[in-house]
Amino acid sequence: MQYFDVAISFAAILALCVFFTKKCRINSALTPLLAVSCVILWFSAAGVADILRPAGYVFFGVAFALFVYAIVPQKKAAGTAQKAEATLLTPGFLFFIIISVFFIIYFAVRKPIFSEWDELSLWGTACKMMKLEDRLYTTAEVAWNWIPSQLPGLISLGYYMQFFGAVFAPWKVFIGYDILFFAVYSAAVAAFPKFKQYGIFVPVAVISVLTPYLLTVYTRIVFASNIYMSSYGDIPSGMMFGGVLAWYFSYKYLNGDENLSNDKNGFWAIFVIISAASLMKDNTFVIQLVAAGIIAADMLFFGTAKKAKTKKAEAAHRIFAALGAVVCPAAMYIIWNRYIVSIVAVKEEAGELGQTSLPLSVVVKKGFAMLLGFEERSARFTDALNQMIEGFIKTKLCVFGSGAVIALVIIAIFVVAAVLGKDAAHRRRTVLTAVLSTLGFVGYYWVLILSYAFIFRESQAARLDSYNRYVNSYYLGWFLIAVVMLAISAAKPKSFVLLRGALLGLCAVAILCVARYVRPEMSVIAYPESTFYSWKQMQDEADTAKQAIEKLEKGKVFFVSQNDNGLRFFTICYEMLPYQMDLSFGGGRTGPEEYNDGSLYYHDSFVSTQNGKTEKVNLDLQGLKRYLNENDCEYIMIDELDELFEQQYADLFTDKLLSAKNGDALMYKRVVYDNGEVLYEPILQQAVLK
Amino acid sequence: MKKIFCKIKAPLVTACYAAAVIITLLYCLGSAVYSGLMRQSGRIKEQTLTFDDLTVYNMEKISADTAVATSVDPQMIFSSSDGMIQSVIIELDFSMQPGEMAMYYVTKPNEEFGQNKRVWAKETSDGVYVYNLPVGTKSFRLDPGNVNGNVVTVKSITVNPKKSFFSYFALSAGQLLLLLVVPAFTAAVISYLIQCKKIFVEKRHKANLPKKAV
Repeated sequence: MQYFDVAISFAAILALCVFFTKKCRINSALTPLLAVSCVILWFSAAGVADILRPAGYVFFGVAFALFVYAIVPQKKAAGTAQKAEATLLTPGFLFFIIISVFFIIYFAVRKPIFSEWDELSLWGTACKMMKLEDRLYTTAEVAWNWIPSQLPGLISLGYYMQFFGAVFAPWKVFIGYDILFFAVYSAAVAAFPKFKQYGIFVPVAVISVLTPYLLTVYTRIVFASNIYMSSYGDIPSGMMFGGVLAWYFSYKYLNGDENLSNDKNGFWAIFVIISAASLMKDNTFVIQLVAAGIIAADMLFFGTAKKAKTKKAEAAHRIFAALGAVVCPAAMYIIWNRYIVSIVAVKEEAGELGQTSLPLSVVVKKGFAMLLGFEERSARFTDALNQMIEGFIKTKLCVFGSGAVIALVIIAIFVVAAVLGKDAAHRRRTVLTAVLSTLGFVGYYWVLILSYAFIFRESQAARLDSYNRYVNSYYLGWFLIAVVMLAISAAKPKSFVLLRGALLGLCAVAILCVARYVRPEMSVIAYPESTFYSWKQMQDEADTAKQAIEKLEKGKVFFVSQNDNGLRFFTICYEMLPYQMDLSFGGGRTGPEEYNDGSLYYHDSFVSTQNGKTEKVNLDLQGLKRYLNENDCEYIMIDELDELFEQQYADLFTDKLLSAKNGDALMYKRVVYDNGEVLYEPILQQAVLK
Repeated sequence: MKKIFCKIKAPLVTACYAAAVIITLLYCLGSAVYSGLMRQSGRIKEQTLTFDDLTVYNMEKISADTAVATSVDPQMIFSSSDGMIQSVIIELDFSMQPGEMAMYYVTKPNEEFGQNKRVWAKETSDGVYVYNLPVGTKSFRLDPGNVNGNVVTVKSITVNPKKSFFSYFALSAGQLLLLLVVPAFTAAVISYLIQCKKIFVEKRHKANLPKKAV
């Protein structure tokens, strides 16, 4: 089942695609994004209802049953007009299948693993917890103070891809994310459903695949990039933003042209996709709202795909559809927040919560008051505002330059599509999208400023931590939808020469830039084995440690890794699952300077989140013994020692840490002597390996 | 106009892919022939190196074939004075897992080694690393891992080992990717140019302008 689980999950997505194409008569290139959205919604809902396993079986059963229903010929009732057979074989759908199958086989062979901080502290660990317990990660217990509020869409997708798997594997999570990307690309080329239109869909497909590199790589990279093998939520959120809009505009374009359309059904699907998009990542929810807003405005001003018989009915139809587009993400937001409030209430009762940030409403109110001069600007607000404005103009984000340059390029693409396009309806739509997406960008940027000024930690705000990552989400989707609008304009014969030329030129620039800045060996396609070397070493270490643990029904493993910056702590915690690690003061990091008087064993940030405030913890040998006892630490795992630790705590170990120093033991087990003394004795590697 | 627009047919794509396959095969064949000629002329010659042929940095030799890394950046450099380096097979033994095993290369005499000119090994069996270097490589630098204190034993180093004829036809991941994308994109560009020409001719015809011989 090591590979078959992924194959079954992918087959279920394809089964849904066949059903949506054949029975709902949606263009086949549009169906992958719809199918993936169904997965996200279903498994997120099942997680909230705490019925993941049974709901998963139902999902697979229904998906394959719908497939059978779609392919079995039906008897036509007498007098029913024969509808033309809906074709599955469109360039977009074929592209989706080929590239997905290639990645599944490629990753099954190479098996990339998690290697970035947040993958280990949140995304990857959450998915692994979900797989191990068949419950949503929100209720899971981990060593550190778990923030359960992260939206469940992407993590559920990672879980879905290995629903039938016996063990958890990170590469299957990457496959889930990549299938989402490919579904977005399929939607981006869906407006060109005939193979003879390769002159358009080839450049759009190439630009789409290169977009994550094109907009995030700003210098010639010398370490392998983890794009397409990452479980971070930022790039998928951005691509989904573009994907929702690409889906909608391709759908409208196809339904405006009788020759290309399957039928005028399937309009409901956009609401499913908008809902799924709003479950991507909490801080990019605003971006998905922008997409929903653009779609709502388009429905309101230019109508929906279905035409009503009377003007009144048409107006009502437009208003309801537009409301639906906005209500969907709002409903998702409310449902998720109500669920989180219930979880938080339980945790609060148990005293597991630390400091929380200001509520969003207060942040927005304060932010506007400071901006407009009703309230005196705090130093942090002023600093964040200035840094963000400077960052927009100066910080190089991609090969084109700073965010300002990217915004200009994107607006220029919209302008070219709107000015040179010959289809009046599409031109209007392009202008509306350009204006609203620009306003949306300003709104999102403002939210980021508020986040740095009021929500993030002060140290994060001071250096605009992860600025590129957060802001790139918007640029990715914005760029993708600009390209799709340009391509749709270029599809009309009348606007052939200039627009098609612009599209091909853009594609050539994308190929040249990516080829220049990202060597194949620095990308997913040919990354060297050594890319994950350090993490594989930690994986081996954790495997050895797990073998040393005979049984750990209750109690935890205390982790010692002196001078670790926290990354080894998170990695080992993730690898050791299902065995629970103790917070261990964050794994034994020494620092910061003000606490470092040479006699302490502590971890600043984790102490602060554990107790709700930063606290100086003085741990002598007796103090540590007491801590280990109070926290049920059955084992101690020695990852990295230093002199400080040896001097302070060698007496806690029966061999004075000699086995650990010689590399003969990684784990120590608690032994209680008759006189009540508690010591830890080494579990020798030789004994473990036997 | 629409009729013209829809006349773009798939044979052009097929032709582009066929042409790309033929060009790739010719390129591989050319590489094999070129390599054969270079070997005959002695510009590419097979050499077996010992540890003494290498210049080492951040490593301390402890015997004829063994050295210990004295930092996290041990380096072993070899320069070919009169010929080219096409490939290298190295068999090494380590006291600890070495980590990254990248090989840097330069193609000009006084060029410095840099991150952008790097290749990674194909590990054929335990401790045997095969590096294929670009045409014109004059010198290489192998960093045997990134572990301070690692004891490195060189079992054998062969520069320019004999390659089978068919090995020239094995494409790298980057080349395969190019083979996949470039023909489709070229077909899109050619079809675009053909259509532009047709539209241009048609416009001139409609405007009753004198036709130029094309």
